[in-house]
Amino acid sequence: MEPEAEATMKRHPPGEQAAGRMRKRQHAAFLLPVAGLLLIIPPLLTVFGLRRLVFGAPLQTVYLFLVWLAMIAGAALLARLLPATDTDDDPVAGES
Amino acid sequence: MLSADFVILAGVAYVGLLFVLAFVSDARAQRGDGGLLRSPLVYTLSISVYCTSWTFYGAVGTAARAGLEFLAIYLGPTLVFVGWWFVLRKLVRIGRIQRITSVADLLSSRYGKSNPLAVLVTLIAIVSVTPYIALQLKAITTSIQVVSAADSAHRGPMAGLDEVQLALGVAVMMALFTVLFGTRNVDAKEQHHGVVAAIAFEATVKLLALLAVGAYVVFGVSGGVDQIFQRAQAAGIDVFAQQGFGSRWIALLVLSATAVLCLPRQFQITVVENADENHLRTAGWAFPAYLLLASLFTVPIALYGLTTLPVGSNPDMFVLTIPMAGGESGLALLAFIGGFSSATSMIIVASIALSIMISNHILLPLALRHASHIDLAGDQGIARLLLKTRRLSIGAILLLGFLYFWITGDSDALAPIGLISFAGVAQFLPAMIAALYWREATLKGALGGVLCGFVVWAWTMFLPSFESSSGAIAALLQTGPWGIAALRPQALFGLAGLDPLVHSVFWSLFINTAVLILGSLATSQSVLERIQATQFVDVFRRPAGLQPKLIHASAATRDLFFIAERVLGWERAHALFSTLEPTHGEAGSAESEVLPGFIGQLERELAGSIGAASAHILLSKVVSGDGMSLEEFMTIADETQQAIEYAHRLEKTSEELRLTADKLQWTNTLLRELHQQKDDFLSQISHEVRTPMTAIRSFSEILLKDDDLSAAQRERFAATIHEESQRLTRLLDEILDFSALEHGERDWDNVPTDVDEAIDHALEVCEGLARQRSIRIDVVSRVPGRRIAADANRLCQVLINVIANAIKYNDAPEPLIQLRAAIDDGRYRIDVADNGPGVPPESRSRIFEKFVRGHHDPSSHTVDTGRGLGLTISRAIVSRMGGTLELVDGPLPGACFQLSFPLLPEAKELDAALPNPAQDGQMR
Repeated sequence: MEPEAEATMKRHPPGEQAAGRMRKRQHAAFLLPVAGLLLIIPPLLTVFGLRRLVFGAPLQTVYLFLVWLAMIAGAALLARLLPATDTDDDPVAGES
Repeated sequence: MLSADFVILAGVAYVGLLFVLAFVSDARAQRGDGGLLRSPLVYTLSISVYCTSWTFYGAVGTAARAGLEFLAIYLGPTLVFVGWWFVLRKLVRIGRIQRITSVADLLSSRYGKSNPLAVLVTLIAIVSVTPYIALQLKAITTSIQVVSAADSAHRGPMAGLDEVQLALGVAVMMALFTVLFGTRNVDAKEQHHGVVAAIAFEATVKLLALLAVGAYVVFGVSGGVDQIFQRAQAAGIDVFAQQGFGSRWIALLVLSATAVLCLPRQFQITVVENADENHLRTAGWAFPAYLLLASLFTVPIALYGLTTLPVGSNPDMFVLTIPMAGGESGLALLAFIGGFSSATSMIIVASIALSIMISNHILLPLALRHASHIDLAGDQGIARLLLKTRRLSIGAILLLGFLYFWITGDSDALAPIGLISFAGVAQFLPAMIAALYWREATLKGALGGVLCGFVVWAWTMFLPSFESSSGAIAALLQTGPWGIAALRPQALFGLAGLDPLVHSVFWSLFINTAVLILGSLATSQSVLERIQATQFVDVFRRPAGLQPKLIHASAATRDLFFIAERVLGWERAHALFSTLEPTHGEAGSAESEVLPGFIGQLERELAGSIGAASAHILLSKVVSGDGMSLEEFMTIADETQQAIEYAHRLEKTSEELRLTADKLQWTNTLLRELHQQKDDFLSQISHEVRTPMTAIRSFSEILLKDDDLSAAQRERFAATIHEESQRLTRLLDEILDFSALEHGERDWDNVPTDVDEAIDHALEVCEGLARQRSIRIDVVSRVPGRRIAADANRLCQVLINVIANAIKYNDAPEPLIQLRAAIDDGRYRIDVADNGPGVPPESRSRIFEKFVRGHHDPSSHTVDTGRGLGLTISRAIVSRMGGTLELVDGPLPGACFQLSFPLLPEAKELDAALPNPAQDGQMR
């Protein structure tokens, strides 16, 4: 067999993994608020209730703002990754 | 120093600015020039109407009293928006497809376009939100009072106004603004570009004001965050207080997450005013970011206020009083404008949302019921009626808010009204979630759930808020009605000891949800409910055009047009009906019947203006259903359900098929390539076999037929025949060898082999040929005693092939071949170079393919013993030994073939015990 043909055989056929990747991203979109909720309620929240100042502010306050920031960053990232939502399936759009 | 007059004038000027802004935006949108207005940024900013004066002033107050508890009010909405892909996206999609105009319309539409449900939801919204509007009025008047109290020395003419007059003034201004820009027209979708632009502007103003005050406190007067917390600790404030993080924290998270979905003003902005579903993509992170910025400085401001301002100062006004105490008039004015804008934006959007609900769900159905004596005639008759009722509603709502403020003005009943309002509208949540996700939820279940939840809320939360203003209510709280302790509003069914908020939220939502679920299980859906349930729950996998087939109804075009014209106006009605004609046989015939699908479409269009329930009532006056029985419907509904599922399955299957087809196509291309190679191979073989065969045949024919040949001639011909048959045999041998190599039949084991011996052997074999053509073979360098993994015979075969090629094609006057062996970078390398014609550049890349020769010179044909398979076979052999065979630029003008093999470890190291096999190789 020709070496070129052998190399071609090992390649994957195109467009097989895209659907799986999109599914995973949607699962991530679901997990983001769930994880966010778990992080900002007891008992995890009370773990950070130490009497200690970080950057001049109580640890718990800093912690809550950091979780908040992480959620925003996660949502901003997912906003780029999630599949486009089709907006043209409206049967009566364009007539009004 | 700020004066009250100046502040009031600034407020009036600010509202004037809003008027201009809204007017310009509306005008631009009218011209279709609303690019910026319909941007995700404006959408996100307008959503922050969530932050009212309760946020602007109240968050600091809450932080001063209860620490971090205020954060829950912002973290709840953050969770909802960060998870926009699920609830919000579905809500917005349904809102667009079903032309939803309000939260009442959403629930009514889902539960069979029920008007009673819409009325109930509207009433609850009014009861919950009106006090909230009063709260905004109070915030404005209080802020003005704070300014004027500090300015008692410079009383201007307007400082004489008392707070009631101020509140009335604000209410009137807001009513004017809302009527002007909120009820310009009855749109296909209730969108108000001017209002949204104004709200987005206000959102920017209030955020800037908060950040400015925060930066002033943290970096201007106290010198950093650590200073503030240290000073607070020194003043005896426990900055590590943990009291807020129990059940109350969770209840607040739930309530605020619910409120951002269910509050009429939030629903209006997020769902109804949404221009593009993809704007949620931005709002999903940008709105939480807005909330984060808005609450960044809340704790520092509260702590700074508590430590520096005189004891007894109202913490709710710290945002305003801290800059005033510092003598920063400009900043104080900015703070005042920020609080003013957060209050006005809430009032504007809430009154628009409520007025749409009141006019669509209460006033219009009433008018339709008595349609005979109401003037509905003329172009947009119903639309004009709607606008009139909406303007009246806005006036009435603001009047109600003002009255509430006036009556309870002296008490502190207003303070917790924000949360009370949240808990009131939270009663929509179970029905709303069921509307989106539970196909079996019924109207009766939803009605019962919302009603029970509302009653429990009113009993456990709304009523106790009047405790301080009414002795009777205070007594009721203590002993319960008629002395029944189990019904005490703040310890319902004996559940005492909880925070009153947690208590109320738990009982109201628990009973609400329980009634919804049990009621839905116990009752059954009507025909319309079932249709709508499918439309809502399956909005993302709705096969287009399925719904119209369900409506078995008929009506005359003329009647339908009459109705459409009353609501949409002649122009839009005409446009809508003109799309109908091409599909219909008798174009324009007034008596002709329209397709059922068109009725469904028309109903949706009308619903965009007057709500689903009203549109349904209106159409049912002229549309005669064909009396479909429930059984008939069930059949259709089941068929529909099956059709949907079938379509869904088909979709999945076709996706799989597509993937398989892709794979097949790809494999097919590969096969075709291989097939083509096979064909080429065969035709080349035939050609190669044919040439010697022709020679053999013609010479043998001559020998057979011609008797006059001399002996010498006979001998020559026989010799030629012999030569040609040998060539043929060699060719067939080569083909067999190649085919066997390709199929791995003639496999061998690679064993350590001394290359030097193989080179010697190959030179020996080629010696005869070289002498025959008087070619000198120089062995320039050699590496004795090194071994590679190979088969000695096969290696020899390759070397002979390469050297023989070099001899055969060399036609130089002084032919010369050089052989070099060397160790290079861990590999054994052999170069065979000649000073022949070399390989033409165009053949270089193909020289190793089957039947390709470097030379096409016909004169060389006579001595050509190879058939073009030699190099192909050689390369296959070499690669099986893990080596490479390449054409490189050599030291001589001709071609240079380079063999390269991975070197085995030094023989001495590998088998030091054995006698060195390289020894006798060196002697040659």
